[in-house]
Amino acid sequence: MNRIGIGSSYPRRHNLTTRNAFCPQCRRHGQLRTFDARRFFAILFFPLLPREWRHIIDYCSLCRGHSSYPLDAWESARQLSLSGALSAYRAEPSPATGLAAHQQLLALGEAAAAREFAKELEAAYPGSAQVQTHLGEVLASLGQTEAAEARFQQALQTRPDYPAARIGAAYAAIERGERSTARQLLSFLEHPGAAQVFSLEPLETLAIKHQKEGEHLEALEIFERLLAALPSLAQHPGFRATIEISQRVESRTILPPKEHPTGLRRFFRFGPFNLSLGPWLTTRRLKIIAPLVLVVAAIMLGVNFERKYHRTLYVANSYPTALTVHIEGGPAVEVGARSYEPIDLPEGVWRARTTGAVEETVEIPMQTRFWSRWTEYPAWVLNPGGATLLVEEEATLKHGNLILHSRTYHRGARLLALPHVDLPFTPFPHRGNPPGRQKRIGFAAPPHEVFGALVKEQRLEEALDLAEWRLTLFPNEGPLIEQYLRAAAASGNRERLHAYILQAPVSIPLHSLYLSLVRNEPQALAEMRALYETRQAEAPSTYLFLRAQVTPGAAERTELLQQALQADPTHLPARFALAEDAFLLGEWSKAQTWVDEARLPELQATPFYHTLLKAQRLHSTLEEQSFLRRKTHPLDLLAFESEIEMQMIQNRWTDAEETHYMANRAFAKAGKEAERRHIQTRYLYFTRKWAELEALLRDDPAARPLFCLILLTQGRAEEVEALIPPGKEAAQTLPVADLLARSLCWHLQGDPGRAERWTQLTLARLQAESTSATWQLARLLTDGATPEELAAIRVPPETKAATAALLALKNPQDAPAWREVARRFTFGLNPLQSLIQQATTP
Amino acid sequence: MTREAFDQLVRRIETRHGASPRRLGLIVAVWAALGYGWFISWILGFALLAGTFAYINFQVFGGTAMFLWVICGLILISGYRAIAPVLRLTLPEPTGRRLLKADAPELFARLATLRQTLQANPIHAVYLTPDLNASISQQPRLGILGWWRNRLHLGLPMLETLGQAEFETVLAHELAHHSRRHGRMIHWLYRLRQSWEQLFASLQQNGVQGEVSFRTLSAWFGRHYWPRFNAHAFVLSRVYEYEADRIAASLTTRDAACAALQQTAIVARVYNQTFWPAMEVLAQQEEKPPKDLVARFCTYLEAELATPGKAEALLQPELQSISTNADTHPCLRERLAALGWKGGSLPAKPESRSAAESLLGASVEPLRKTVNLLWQSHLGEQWSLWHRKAAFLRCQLGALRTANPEATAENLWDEASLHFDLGEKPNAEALLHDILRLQPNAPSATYALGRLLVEREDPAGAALLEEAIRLEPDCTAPACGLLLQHYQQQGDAEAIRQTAIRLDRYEQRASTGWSDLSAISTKDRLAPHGLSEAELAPLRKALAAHPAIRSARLVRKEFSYPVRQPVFLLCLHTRRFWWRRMEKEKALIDALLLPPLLPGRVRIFTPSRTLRRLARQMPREAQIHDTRYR
Repeated sequence: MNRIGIGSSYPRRHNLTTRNAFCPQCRRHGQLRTFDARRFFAILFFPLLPREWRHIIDYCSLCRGHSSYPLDAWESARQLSLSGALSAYRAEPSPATGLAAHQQLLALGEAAAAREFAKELEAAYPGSAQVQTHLGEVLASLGQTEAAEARFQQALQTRPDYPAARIGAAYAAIERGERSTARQLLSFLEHPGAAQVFSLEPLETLAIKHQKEGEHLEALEIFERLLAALPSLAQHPGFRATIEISQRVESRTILPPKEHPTGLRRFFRFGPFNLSLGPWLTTRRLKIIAPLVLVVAAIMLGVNFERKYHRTLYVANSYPTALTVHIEGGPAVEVGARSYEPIDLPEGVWRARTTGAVEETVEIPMQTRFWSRWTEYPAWVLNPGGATLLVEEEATLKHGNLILHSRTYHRGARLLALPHVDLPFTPFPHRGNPPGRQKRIGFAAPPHEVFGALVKEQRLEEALDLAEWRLTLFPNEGPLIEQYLRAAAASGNRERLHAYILQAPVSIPLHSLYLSLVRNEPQALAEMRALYETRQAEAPSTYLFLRAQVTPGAAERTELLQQALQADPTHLPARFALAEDAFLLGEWSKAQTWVDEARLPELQATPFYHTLLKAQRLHSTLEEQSFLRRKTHPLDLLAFESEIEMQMIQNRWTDAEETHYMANRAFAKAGKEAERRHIQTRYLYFTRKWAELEALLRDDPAARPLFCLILLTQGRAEEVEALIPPGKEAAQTLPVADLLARSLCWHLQGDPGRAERWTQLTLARLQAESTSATWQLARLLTDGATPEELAAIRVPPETKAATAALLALKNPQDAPAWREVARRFTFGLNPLQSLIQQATTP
Repeated sequence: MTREAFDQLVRRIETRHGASPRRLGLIVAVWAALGYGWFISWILGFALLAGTFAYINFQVFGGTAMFLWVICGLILISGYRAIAPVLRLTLPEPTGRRLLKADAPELFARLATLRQTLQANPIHAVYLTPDLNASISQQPRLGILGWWRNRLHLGLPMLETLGQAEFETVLAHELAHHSRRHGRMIHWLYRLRQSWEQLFASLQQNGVQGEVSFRTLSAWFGRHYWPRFNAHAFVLSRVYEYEADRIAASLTTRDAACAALQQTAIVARVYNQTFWPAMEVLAQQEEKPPKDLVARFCTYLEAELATPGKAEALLQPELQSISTNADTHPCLRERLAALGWKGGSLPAKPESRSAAESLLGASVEPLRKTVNLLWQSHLGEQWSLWHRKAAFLRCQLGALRTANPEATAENLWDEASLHFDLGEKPNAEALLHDILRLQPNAPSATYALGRLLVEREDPAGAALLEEAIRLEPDCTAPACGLLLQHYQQQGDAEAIRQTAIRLDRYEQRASTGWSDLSAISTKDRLAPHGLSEAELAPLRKALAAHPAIRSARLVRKEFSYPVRQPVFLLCLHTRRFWWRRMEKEKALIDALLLPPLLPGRVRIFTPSRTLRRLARQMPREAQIHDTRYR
């Protein structure tokens, strides 16, 4: 305050004396003033309010530092001390009283009077070593070294043993650089026991001087004496440091090892209580601790406010389209499909309006308590539409292993406020050793995986709730629908499932799967049919399609599908159903027309479309389309497979080999081992490298049906039966075409008995499936029929081909007609086609 | 509390309750309860304060407010720091050799018998020490809460110099203080006073400058509580010293008890007054302490007492000395009188077998060696320091003699100091006499000579010490200490009381920093200057030499205690200075101040600022100079 002119001011100064010296406050050399003045309270250097009279001592012109006393009290003390000392000397003149008076004069700044009095003393006691030494010391303190030394020498002439004079003279000799003379003068201090009578400071000064002049040997010698006299000095850090300088130069050790620990422990002194150690908390320590505490408090406050004004709101979007969140008075943020976005906001109550995938407004209270901001890391997650399945997990990472303590799923809530989250939308670390438990929040695994996990954990109710919630929001999630229906049916929750189906938003996959589940329950089917008819007005195409699914008659079904397509020409399920119907009836071009009319280029990349082209023997078209597809999608497995197959069919072996090589390299490079293996298998089959193929497939349980078919094409039916013996299990697990293939093989082997056995298994299987098509096929196999009747049954082409080939073998008289049907429904290069070809070759 | 106030309190308690130890015991118990209450309230206060913050934390912040936890922690730490000296009161470890039953079965058997007879508290450890003493110390395991660990310290020199009967009396006296047979609570209070003495000594220590602690509060309590508790417990303790003597006599014989007291006094006197000074002289010659200190002491004592009449001479001053309130033990005379000793012959020479030989049995020789070694190692460092210091001083003395300076007072003082420090008292005394011949009012020499004479029990020493106090009031404290010792030995109760009062006043003035000596205020009592015309003449002349001074009044400041120099107040009325007034006034004052014109301290002022009122208080009769009506 004084720097800006507010505070004490001394405008009029009386009895001013000045001297040049070092300021005790700022340590700078300057003019120091001593005066009497009235203290004023000043504002902007202007004295306003008069206060008391003061005696000011050593007012520094540079820093304005000074000490002051009440003038009258100071004057009383000065006069009484001076007059007392001087009158005592006058009453009892002696060196002792004289020296006391002189000291008083000096102490009270009466320099001129002190000089005069010194002369008087010198004249009165010329032979007093005490007086001469005292005067020498005074002169030395005033910087008059030469005059001081003269006094010391005079004292030594009177008393050569006088210690104070010897010390004074020694200091003067040190100043002059005559260290040996000083050492001689101070020799009495090196005598054992001197430390108990005199201070050894002069010896230390001499040693340090020796050290500064590079005379380390002499310095060490004196230091050694000092240590011998005062062993405790060896533990003084400053003294040790001084000695260590000379020790290093001379490579000689005189210091004993350090005893006491230093550092914070000594500073805080939390050891056993000992009164002799002095006070623990002092203002000096407080002066050190308080700024530290203040700095820490300021930092903590800063952190607190930084956290308060920089909170993060996470917006999680699991919709397949982007959405935008508008914060009132804040930013607008677009959140991409199936992703999240953090928004930096200060604490407060916010209102968020969501547009895009979902339209809604949510109030967000983002508030925390003052004290919790240092210890807790809260997270707020905005979940538009409540559609995102979030998972909150708590785990500990120990030696690289993640130990999961809890996992909670959050769904449905528009806003999730969690008091403490360490890792928001961040996975747990895989390395390191983070302290304690870590908590994270983020997107959960895909719902069908979560469903599976919950079922596995015996949390069926929770799993079903989750699936129903999810399917209500996203009704077309195939994997979840499948798992949900299977789990609900298996656990006896058929009624719950039925109730859900009735009230849930309509979903073709869900209803299709449900219908297949209840296909043998006429009452349920009738109920569903009635439901579809009732609701037809809501979504005509969808409900017409579903009605077609529950309609037994083919014509009526086709009629309903066509109506659905008329209601909505873009209704893909209806279009595909019609295409599939045509395909199953062998009307290839009609099927293709249904597909092409959809005008969706991506449909050309489906296996169904490839099969259609193969059925029409459009090999070069398929090859070309596959080639083009491969250019845009370098890792399209179907495109590679079809291209190689078409090249092989066209006997372009070299091209096929080259394409195979490219596929192999592409999948190997992309790390797609399963795809690479599949292409390798197909290529080996195309090139008839049986040994390699068998070696590749033998130990793969997943490839066992294919392996069996390959063995069958080679006529190794015995081996196949060893692998999969005929029986109920085989009838239930193997496809109908595979069962027929086994029968065909035994026929070709000339063992009609075994062939018949497999035929019976096939019949059992067909009857078990209990659809009209399978029933028709079963009847045809037992009772016989015309090839046209077989062609009209809605079963897969390979089944038809296998059935026709079998009937050709069983009915030699109608063999040509059956062979014709078999060839018509056989296309592409595959083991079954090869077997059928063998069977249909006359 | 001053010594005088403490003495008065002790006298008042003795008058009121001295005859009824039971009632006094109850009063002391109440005081002890107050002390315990203070300490417990201290602990509870901290706990309550910390608990309040914790409660607020839980109630208002649900326990999450770290700041309040920090405050709780700080309060508990502060509480611990404040309570720690009370709860962790530790006594220094004994320096002696611990005796086991196998070492001295006879001693332990006697101890067990005495304990059983007296129903005394168990002794947890027995130490054989190199001191001339026998005592029981109590180390509280739980600070003020007690759970004592009793240690019996037996000084080998005492065992060696007393006969078995006498030593058993001493032992019985110590065990009587721990007896449950004779007023269990009163003995407990006696011990409590002993253990709290150290505690309150530490609590009364003033805080170091800049210290932030509760020490001020503790010191305040210590200052007000301890003297009052101590005064009551002191009277009780003294009563029970007599009781312990009586019990000891009843267990042995009255003669043995009297003999033990007398013998102990003689031995202690030899030990302190002649043996140790002799050892200090020995330390100047030998670098290490002798290996047979105990044996040397016994030999020395035997030689001392061999001189006919020496024992009586040694006992006489002890019998002359009187009881003071510095020690709970009564003086020897009163203790002997209480035992029914009517005077007469001195106790017979101890039996041929000392208590050590009787009680320590076959182990005595190895134990002597062990204690000697302990003593040697304990003394080693101090002995070495004595030796080195003496060598250095002797060297200095040699240098001084070689310089052969003029026999001035200061040179003689230097030489005398060296002799004094070397323990060469006759030489020092001669030199001090020389100094006083040269400079009769030399305060240091007067004090030093007085000390020498008082230590020699020469009554002239007291007069010299009184003179030293007059010449240099700063030596009041040490001089009064010596005088108290001297008057106690002389048995002069009134002189002791007067000296204690003087010492109290000196300490009171010293504690206020002699502020009234160096300050002038309107509250000062003024008196006529009391100077003769001859003494005033130089001042009058000087005043007349300054025409600016119109009038001057001179008075003397009165003090309630003797001061070395009188303090005069000289008020100057000057003509009005219109320019540089303050400078001119200061010049005028300095001209009258230097050189001194009055025999004492003087404050010269003009009636201005704060001294205007003081100037008005100076009477017209004090006027010594006036030029207005000339």
